Amino acid sequence: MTRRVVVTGLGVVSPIGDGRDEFYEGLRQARSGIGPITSFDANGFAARIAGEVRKTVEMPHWIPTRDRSAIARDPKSRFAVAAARQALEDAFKEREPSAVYDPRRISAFIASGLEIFHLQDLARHFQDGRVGAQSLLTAIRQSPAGAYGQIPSHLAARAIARHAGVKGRLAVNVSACAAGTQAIGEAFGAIRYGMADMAVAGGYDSMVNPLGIGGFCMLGALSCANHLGGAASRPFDVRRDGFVLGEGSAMLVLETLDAARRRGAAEYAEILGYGSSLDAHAVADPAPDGGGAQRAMQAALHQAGLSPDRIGYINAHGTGTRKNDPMETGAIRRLFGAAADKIPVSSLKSQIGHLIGAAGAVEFIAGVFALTQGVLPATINLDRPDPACGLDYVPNRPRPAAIDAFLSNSFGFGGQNAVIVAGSVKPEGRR
Amino acid sequence: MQRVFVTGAGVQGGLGGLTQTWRGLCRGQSAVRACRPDGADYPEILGAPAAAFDLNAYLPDRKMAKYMNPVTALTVAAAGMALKSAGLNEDSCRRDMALFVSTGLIAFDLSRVAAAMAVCISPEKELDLHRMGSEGLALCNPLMPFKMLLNTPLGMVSIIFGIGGENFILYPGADQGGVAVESAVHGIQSGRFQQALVGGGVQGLSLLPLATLDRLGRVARVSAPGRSGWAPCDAGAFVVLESERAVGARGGRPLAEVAGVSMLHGDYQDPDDIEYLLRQIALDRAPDGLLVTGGLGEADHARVREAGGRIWTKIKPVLVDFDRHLGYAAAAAVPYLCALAAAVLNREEIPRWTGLKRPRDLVVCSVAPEESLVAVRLRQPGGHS
Repeated sequence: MTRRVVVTGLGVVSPIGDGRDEFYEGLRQARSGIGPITSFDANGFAARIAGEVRKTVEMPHWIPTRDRSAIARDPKSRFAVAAARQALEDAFKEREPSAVYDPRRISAFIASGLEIFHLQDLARHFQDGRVGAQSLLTAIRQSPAGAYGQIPSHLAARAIARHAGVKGRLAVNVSACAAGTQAIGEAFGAIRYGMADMAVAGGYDSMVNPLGIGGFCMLGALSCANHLGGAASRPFDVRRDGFVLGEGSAMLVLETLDAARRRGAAEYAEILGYGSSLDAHAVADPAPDGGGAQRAMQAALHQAGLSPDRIGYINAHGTGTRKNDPMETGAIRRLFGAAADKIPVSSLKSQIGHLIGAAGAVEFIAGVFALTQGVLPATINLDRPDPACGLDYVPNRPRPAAIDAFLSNSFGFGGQNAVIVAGSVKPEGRR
Repeated sequence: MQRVFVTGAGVQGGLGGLTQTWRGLCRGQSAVRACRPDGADYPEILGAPAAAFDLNAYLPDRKMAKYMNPVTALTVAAAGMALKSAGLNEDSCRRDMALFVSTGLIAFDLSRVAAAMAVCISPEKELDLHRMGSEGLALCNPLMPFKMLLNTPLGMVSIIFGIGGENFILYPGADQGGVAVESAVHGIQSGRFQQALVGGGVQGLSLLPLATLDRLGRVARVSAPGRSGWAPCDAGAFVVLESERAVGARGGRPLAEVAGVSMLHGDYQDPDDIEYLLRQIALDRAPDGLLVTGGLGEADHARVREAGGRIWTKIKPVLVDFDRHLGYAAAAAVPYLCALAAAVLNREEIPRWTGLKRPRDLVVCSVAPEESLVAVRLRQPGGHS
């Protein structure tokens, strides 16, 4: 016996807005959140632009004292706790989740990214061509736990779980670009199949730091069109030259439809299906035939019980790399057939960049925007569509449209593919 | 609901692969010793470095090794060993196989950026980021990003062994290995997939992760009384899980049946939470043994005994601490103990020091600080059709 799962709380911190309303407005205005990097001196790097969260994000009062220093020194962790606070307040107002649910039936599935390494911390102990272990260890011992040198990525997830009253399970997903969508999908599965009654699900990431920018530069994955600023992220455009890194977080609260209805919670969307697959091809490149991506989309649609023509909008992975965009387009064409030309597809990465571990979660909220606001987000900077792509990418301007269901893709490094299908909440169901 | 069986197991740790590890344990050997990780100027701790192994034995192309850090190498080796022990050698069997991996705190090899830092650091130890970008990175190994991405271990296992199904990679503690096992078991029980490869790898004896644990006072010192704390290890461990239908269809041989999994994001110091955890998999008889990991010392084991004693009042399971002999494997700990449990249930010879006598039923239990509690019940696969 499976249960219906709905989204009852939303929180988002992004380069185009802090909070749901600001984020939605950023989508309506098709605003770019990408510009020159300001958080460190990036002038020596090949890529010098990113989608940064420009606003100062406040630390919630419920962060344990012991973790405050570490979280303060890790931008993505700050974004995470802020987004989680928004989502939990949205869903429960002033009540504690544990006052509504048995804590043992509350779980958290949260995606995070690579640990942040403060190179300046390490530099202080650099001598004779290496980092001195004794010196570094002394400095770590004298600092607040987890706040020096290497900051573990799961501290925010743990703090969020504690605040939400989680006593079920805490899963910290680090599947890179697919992680956020996987976290939502796993949370959906846990509630659907009865392992949990309520879950916090989402993701947070920031690789806008010297090692993050530098590492992706070394892979040749980033756009170096620094002179274009906010126009540099160009998914599906023939002149695209790579993705632009972004940062942020999105968190959701998921519950069963029955429980949400009983307590009068908002019902933003119903999660209908989740699909996950592996390319088994290469670490940094997608399988050119898009077979893994297609299987993940197919699995999500199958679980949702929807034929492809019932999808009103696809939120694409759409990174703007030479390889992803045609691969994804081909996979959509093969799966959706004739319907592919009629379904609008857009990439939020054109506006905010690639948020890696947070991407799937933030982009899911863009799908909810489309569902609830009747406006499809645009793919901005699409002035010369690549003939090798050729779908309707909602170029440059958001488009009014009433949709009933959307599909959101996340295809990542390592060949991990994750897809969510969600739709408006219908009391009678969809079958 | 489908029954779930362990059909393959692989470990690569301080005493070697699974067979060598078992032989060593039966002889009373221990991989835990005094060591100075990452160079001579780190204080001496108790740890279990991985024994040497031939990674190339698992690689279809030796060039793939250059993308791997030690965690990825240990992960690949253990995964390959598990698949081989399950008799799953044909690629066509694996496209729908699920892959759930847990990985530890990243062991960032500082030597990889040493060349870059050398050109960017002033005499006052200030880092010039401009020079880092314009000159320093060019001195780094171009494959450095692959060795840093947290999901590279999963990606490499998928690529090398052709696994294409449902997947995720979690991080960084023992409970994440528990989530991986739980997800695989539920996925098979519900029929979403028929086979899953579950496990992980850690490099506990690297400077930065070790220093992080040290700061929390969780690392065992050679000189400390009672040696409380973890002896971190470098290890990889995997199990293959299959539905009864899949095992029957290919004539596989089950090593153990997974009789239950429970998790609780509770307090490892609260016997009430541990009791709740164990009650979820209590079944109708006491297990023969509790294989416990993650405990910092005897006090943690006493709490597990107390909690178990509340449930199983007539026959008390034996508590076995493999961490003392193999080290604490963090993200890989639960799959590691599941692999050992499968070995215990299938071997004639059992290490005497465990106190186990022909066990038929075991519980793997993780009780690490600030992590979810995990219990996995495994029993001999009697009644498999």
